[in-house]
Amino acid sequence: MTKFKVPIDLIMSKVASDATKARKKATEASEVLLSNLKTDIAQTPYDIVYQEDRVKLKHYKATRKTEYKTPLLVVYALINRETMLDLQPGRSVVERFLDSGIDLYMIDWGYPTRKDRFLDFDDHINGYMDNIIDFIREKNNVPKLNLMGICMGGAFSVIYSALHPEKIRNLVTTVTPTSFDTNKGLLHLWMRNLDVDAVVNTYGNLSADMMNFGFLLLNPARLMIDKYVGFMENMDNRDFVENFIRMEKWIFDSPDLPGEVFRQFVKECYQGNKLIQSKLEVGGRLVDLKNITMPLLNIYGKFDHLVPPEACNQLVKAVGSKDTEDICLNTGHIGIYVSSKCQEAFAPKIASWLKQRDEEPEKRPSSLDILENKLDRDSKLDSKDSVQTEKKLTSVKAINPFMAAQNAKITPTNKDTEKGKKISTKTTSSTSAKNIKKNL
Amino acid sequence: MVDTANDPLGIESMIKTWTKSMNELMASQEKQGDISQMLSTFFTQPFQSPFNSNAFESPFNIMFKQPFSSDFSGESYKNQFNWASFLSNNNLGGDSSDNTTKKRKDVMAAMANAMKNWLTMTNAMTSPEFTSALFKGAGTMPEMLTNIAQSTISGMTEIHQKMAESVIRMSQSVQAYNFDDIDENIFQAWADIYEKEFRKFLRVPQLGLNREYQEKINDMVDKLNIAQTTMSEFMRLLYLPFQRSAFVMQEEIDKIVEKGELSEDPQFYYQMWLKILEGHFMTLFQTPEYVETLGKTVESMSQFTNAREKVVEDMLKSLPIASRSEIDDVAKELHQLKKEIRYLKKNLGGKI
Repeated sequence: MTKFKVPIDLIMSKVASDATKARKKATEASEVLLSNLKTDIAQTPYDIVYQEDRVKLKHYKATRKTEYKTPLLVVYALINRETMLDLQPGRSVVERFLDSGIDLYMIDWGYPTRKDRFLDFDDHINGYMDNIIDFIREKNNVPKLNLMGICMGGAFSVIYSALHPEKIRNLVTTVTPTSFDTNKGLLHLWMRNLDVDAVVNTYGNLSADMMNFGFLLLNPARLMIDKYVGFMENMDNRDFVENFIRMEKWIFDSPDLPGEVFRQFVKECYQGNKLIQSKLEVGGRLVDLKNITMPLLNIYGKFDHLVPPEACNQLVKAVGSKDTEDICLNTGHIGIYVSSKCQEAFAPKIASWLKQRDEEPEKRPSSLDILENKLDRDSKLDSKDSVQTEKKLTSVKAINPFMAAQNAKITPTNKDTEKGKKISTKTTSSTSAKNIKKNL
Repeated sequence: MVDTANDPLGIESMIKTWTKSMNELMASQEKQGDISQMLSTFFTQPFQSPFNSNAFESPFNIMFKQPFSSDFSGESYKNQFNWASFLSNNNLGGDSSDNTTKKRKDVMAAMANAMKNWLTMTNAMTSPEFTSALFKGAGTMPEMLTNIAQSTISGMTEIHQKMAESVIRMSQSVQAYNFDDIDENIFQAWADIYEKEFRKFLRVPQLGLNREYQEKINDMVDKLNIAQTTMSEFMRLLYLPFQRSAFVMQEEIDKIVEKGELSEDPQFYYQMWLKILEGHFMTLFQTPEYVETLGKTVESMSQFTNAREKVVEDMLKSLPIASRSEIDDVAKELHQLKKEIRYLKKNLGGKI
């Protein structure tokens, strides 16, 4: 066997060439780093319209005429900050919602201090959230709100909707962990063995540094090495540097997590898995997910390493609502909100979904009624034509699964396709137009 | 006569002789019935050394018989140091002669009592049981030191041995993407040695006024040692993927060389290494050993922080600064009050 000769001379030549390039890059990078970089985040204008303790309510200034009767309240997690939804112009979920004509409110949980260590689920959900929702209802003179939760904020929104269903018109959950009995995510594995009492009793709140270190440990090779190697390689690219710094600002702008919330989240959810089983108690009341009868849109990421799909996709089966939809996007935990690809699929989808459900079901123009009128006109249809009618009905359901479900006792179990964008509707009852009419 | 075999230093013999002479002295003075005379004699007589040796006798005689070289005013101080004459000549506040005599007698009686107590104590100390225990105790000192040295040396030897074995094992074989045989012997050995040989010293019961504080400090040191051990173990686990990735990289490069596909681009090798490293981390993070070590590390760090807080709180008590637990108590009460107000508000329709 011929021994392969290692081309040392070529490798050395490449290294020398790279060294020259690196020197040039370093010169350009220093010019970029020493210039005025635009790295501000959360630039969309808003007013603080309500404040209680450290918690503030942001009301974003409309960029166009509001086209929704029901305002939307976004509840972010207590981990990291809500500024992630508004990282920069052109890459902002907030901006997209405003451009869709949504009247948008968002909770800023602030920075918990030592005195907040005793605040638990009850204080946040039945306290701050409920007060804020009552404030918005009163301010806008509406009986119900649309509620959108993100990650832990999604779990809070689910709990709130189960405890106060009369105040919520539509519920949107994004990357929301509700089922914790899975080994897919490392967090699930690690939290199960954590002595949370020792941590909370000692430290009070869970410090942001400890949390950030834990998150970095989820993938040290990428998050602690490759990420910064990538930065070094692109230091001469102003846009890249600005985006990178914005993301760094957001990642390490971390409030501490109130100790009792952390204790409850780990013990009741990660270790006890009580939420999905409707066994969780908050403020002395049982959180029965069957009370969630309002429409539910559940979005999550296929490659989410913090909240894996298995932790999210059980919710629609557990709630009492008949109008539910699951969407699995081809992205990770943060990519859903910040990647330019998902920007196209995420915010517009929520906006259109909410638009279809902006009023009370009884007040909504029923597509089915329109179709029925048409059926009456075509009452002389023969059996051949009825097949065609059936197809039309199915298409109506696909457009408005809520109406279809309400009127025809259909359980739409919308399963995401591989790409997570296309939605199919599965019907479980007779699709005959006559039968549907009987069920009205 | 001094028994050099059983009493090599002659201490036992010395105490016995001393006690005997003191007893004789007391007996002769008691016969005369004048305690003040006895004391006067005792302090003015040349000191009767129990050793019958000039080396001991001279300094004592000098001390008691030489003029007291002091600048104090008062005639008595300048004269020979003679307590009896000092007491008898001193006016003690300038009272009448009856009062002076009474006070002098009281002082003499108190001194006589003190002397008797001293004699009783000396007798007790010269009992064979006491001296034997004393010398046994003295004899155990070298033994104790030897034991400590032995246990320390054996502990260190054991650690070195484990380290050597560990290094040998590491160099023998490295299995990629497999953390089933994580070698934790070295940390376990140290934990065992600490538990058996060192920890007990920090758990010796403390006595006296400062016992509570000392006990807390010892507890903090103990918890720090444990936290450092678990942290080292945890850091070592995080280092393992790097070590194993290096070995896998070597193997991969060998394969590439064999195929003749060696790349000139350093990025190629970096990306290869990164993927291997990421794979190793992902495998490690799911092992029960890692999960257990992570849990232990968090727990031990919490325990150390808790112990440290207690020591700091003790220190803060002497300063006009509220301690953390005091602030926590206030925060807890405030939280409870706010909760009650919230429920009242809701139930009363926001009328308060």
